[in-house]
Amino acid sequence: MPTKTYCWAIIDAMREEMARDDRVFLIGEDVAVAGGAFGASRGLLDAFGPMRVRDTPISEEIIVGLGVGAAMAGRRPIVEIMFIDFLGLCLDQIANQAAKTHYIYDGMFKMPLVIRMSSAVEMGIGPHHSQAWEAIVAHIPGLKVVMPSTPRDAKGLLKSAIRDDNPVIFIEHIAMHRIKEEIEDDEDFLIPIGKADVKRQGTDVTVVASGLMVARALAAAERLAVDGISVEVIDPRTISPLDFDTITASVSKTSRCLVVSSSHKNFGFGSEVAAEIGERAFFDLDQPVRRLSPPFTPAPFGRQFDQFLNPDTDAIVAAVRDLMA
Amino acid sequence: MAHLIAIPKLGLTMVDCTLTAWTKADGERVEKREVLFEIETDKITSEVEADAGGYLRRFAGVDSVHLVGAVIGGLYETAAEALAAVEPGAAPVVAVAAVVARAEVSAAMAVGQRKRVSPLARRVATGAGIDPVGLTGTGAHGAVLRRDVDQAIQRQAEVPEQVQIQVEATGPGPLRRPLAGLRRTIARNMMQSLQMSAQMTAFARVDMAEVVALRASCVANERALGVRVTFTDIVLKACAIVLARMPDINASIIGDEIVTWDHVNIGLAVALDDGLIVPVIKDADHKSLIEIAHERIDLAARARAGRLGQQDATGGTFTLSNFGSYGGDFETPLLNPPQSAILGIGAITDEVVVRDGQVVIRPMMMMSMTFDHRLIDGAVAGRFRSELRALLEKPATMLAGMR
Amino acid sequence: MTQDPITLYRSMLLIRECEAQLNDLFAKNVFPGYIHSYLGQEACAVGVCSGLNDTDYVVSNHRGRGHYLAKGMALKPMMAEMLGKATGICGGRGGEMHAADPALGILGGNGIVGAGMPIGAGAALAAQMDGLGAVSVVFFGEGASNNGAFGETLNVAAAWKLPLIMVCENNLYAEMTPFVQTVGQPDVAARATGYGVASEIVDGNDVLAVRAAAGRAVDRARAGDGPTLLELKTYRWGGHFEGDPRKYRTRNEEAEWKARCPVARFRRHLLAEVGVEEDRLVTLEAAVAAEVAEAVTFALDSPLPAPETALLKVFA
Repeated sequence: MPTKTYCWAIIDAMREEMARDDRVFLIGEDVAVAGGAFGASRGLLDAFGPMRVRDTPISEEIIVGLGVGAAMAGRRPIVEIMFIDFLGLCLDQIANQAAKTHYIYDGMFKMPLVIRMSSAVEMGIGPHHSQAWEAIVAHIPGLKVVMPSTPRDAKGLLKSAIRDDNPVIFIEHIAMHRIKEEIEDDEDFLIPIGKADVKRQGTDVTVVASGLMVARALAAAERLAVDGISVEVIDPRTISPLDFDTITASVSKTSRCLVVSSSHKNFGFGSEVAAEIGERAFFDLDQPVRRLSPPFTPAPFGRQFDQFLNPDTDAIVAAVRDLMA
Repeated sequence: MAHLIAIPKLGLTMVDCTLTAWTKADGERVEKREVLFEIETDKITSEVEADAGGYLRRFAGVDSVHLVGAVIGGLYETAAEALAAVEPGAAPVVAVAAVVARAEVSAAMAVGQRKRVSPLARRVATGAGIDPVGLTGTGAHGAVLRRDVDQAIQRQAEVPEQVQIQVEATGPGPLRRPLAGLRRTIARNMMQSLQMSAQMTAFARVDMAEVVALRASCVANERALGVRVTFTDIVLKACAIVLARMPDINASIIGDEIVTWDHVNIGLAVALDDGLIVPVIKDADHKSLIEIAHERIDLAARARAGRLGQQDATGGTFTLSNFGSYGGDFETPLLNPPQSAILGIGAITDEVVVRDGQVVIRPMMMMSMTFDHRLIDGAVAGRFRSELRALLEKPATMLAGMR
Repeated sequence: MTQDPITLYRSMLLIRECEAQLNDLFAKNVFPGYIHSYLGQEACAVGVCSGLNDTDYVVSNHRGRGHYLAKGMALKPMMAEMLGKATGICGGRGGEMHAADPALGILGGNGIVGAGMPIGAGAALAAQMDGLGAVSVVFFGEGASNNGAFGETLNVAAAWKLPLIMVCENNLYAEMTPFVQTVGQPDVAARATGYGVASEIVDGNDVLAVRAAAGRAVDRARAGDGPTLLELKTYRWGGHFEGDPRKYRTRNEEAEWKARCPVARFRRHLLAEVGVEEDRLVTLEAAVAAEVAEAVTFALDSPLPAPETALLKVFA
């Protein structure tokens, strides 16, 4: 199997799907000539030409709106919003238009729209480029929100997103762009949306970790194993709809759960997981569900702040030990 | 309207009891404050008065074991109603009957806090027929976790398994009897003792020559003193003096609190034919040797006769166990929760020791002190033993602080 | 696409009757929710849509019945949708501000002012990629021209030469505020130049003028020459919604504009210039009124959608 970076996994997914289906196209800021602000669309302009790979003006509302309208007219657009922090500029098109079109019009229109958004959490570039906003979009019915943590998941999920008839927010962590993984060399390789992945099996504590936190949870699990603590690490991969079946089954087995996220606790991903476990698996719990998240502050400029604010492997180890005490 | 009769809680540590007798029959009239039934718990039989009047209907038979709060009967308006009454299902406990003997419980111990039981622990315990509230929690804030329930289930399971093996091997089968009453209480207390505290035992040898002399002169003057003073009395008195000086030993961990007791109450282990009971000599630091000896004789006699009251065996802050009386030299005694220390004393025997470079023969005694290492550091326990040894080796110094 | 003036008139009449009868329902308190009346603007929808094919796209807005009917949406399902009934074209879940028909290129209304403009541009982008000569029309009010999406849409449509026709129905009032109070210059079309977009100002109450201007814009779009902004000067007879007390304007002003009624004006044209017999028009008017009344009865008699259907179709 070839080894690919997270970034090239995304490029490959789009190239394969654009070759497979003429209706698929890509628009966004800097996606064509520049090959993507982070290089995640390199080579696509040359491969598919300026009709299907277009640079847009810096106009986030119409970037998404073009996708919505084109999807209603039968296309399968991929639109790129450079940073998820720019969500506010296009939220109406996402939340009121893309998410609701199929519903409002009683299924007469499908909305096969992929909105790629980069997350630069913990990259030290300040309050407008560092946010983990997956919970904001996950709150909206009609949207699917995926957030892969490995190259293989990124490719398989993006391909599934492009083939999906519903609007999918695809959150890419640029901090992970260079990590590598072997990926099946198969044009129909897909990772299903809505299915969590048990990244490591364990029996004592379930750690639900998303995005950047997955690798840290795995590192923590490795350290805890030395002390005989067996940690199961679950990467939901899809934030919405969240695979509570897999999470609940794991927590019912371990009876302890920690949720680690780059997003805030307040009304957030960890809260959602904790609440659902409370409803589904209360009588399997031996400890309260714990959440690890950055404090409820904006992200200032500079990596020292990011490192201070965000959960690291040590914090995960400590929280798991606490659950085992 | 029925008035339900429930098992009262008679002491801090009481979890369950054995119903040993009813004083009335079904349909019989009971007056308020009249003794209605007897229960055996914490090694003691207690009479329980009716807290209301009425005609009795018994739901529980003699020798049955009940959790605190369990409904065992009801009082009704008429005899007919009583005879027709059926046991309420899972009806909530509406009243706890008045108690003849109230345990002396300090304010700190009486603070009623909600017992924390994890949802999983509660589910597993309920499935196994165990009341999780009665278990000792090892989780944060004393929460009962799955592991605590699992241990309880394991304890339940262990004994029958061994019995089963014997049945297969020998044919006619072993004698079986319910684990009830005093034995049940001892069994539970001993396991709880080991589970809920970090026990460490340390030893020290004491030269008892001067205590032997003191005791000899007491015995010689027995008629004048009016009582026969024993080695146990002397050691108990010495312990009381040191405990009064060292409140760190005379303390307990209860829940999330460290409670330092304001009395020195020393329990004295008394062996019975079918078990062991620990009556308490209250305020031993303020009592003379003679008073201690009198009280010991009285308590031991009543214990053996099964006539100890609830208050006689509760409220201890420290325990003394003389296993020398049955030939032991040293043992590792188990703490009597929530106490943090217990002193075991062995037999006094002549031994060869070295004094001032000379080999001499001295009457020596081994002290075995178990303490709760959660609360008491090794150095503190060591200081206690040193002070105690100093007193025992120079018992005359006890006079200095005596009132 | 129709050339027949009687058909144009019938289309305008149909809208007029719908709006009139819906206002009656509202007055009788049997209409659920708001009515955003299209009375007075009939020439705009009919003038533009009569020059379109079924393969052309129309994106409407909150005041959308004129557009739906002019583009050919079936009357009964449209009417039932307005009343939120199960027989509505969206099963009753869209309601008064949302109806669509993909087969006719009607890409829905909207509850968000201005949100249709980017969507219309997206349909134009799809049409451009298809290369089959279809165009996309967005109807919006002058109020929406002050929304950021307006600038974003004009800009990208010009940059990419999208086959997009931006139809601004300038009815003078942005909800309940006179448009002139919210702008430095009152002609929406004048903004097109700055974006490199062709534009025209048209008398929105003259269906033939609207039709002609829309035809020019459609030709430009189909030829690949890019977008056009049409500003149709017209007047909203009713309030922003029915029951709006209209304190922001005078009754005299309303009377002046009603005297310029686009339906009556075209009727006079048919009688005087085309030579249509009045009897024929009277018969047509009665037939349309009866057709709308039948549609209203159908809608009123239709059941509400079952509440549990709210759980369906969140995802495709």
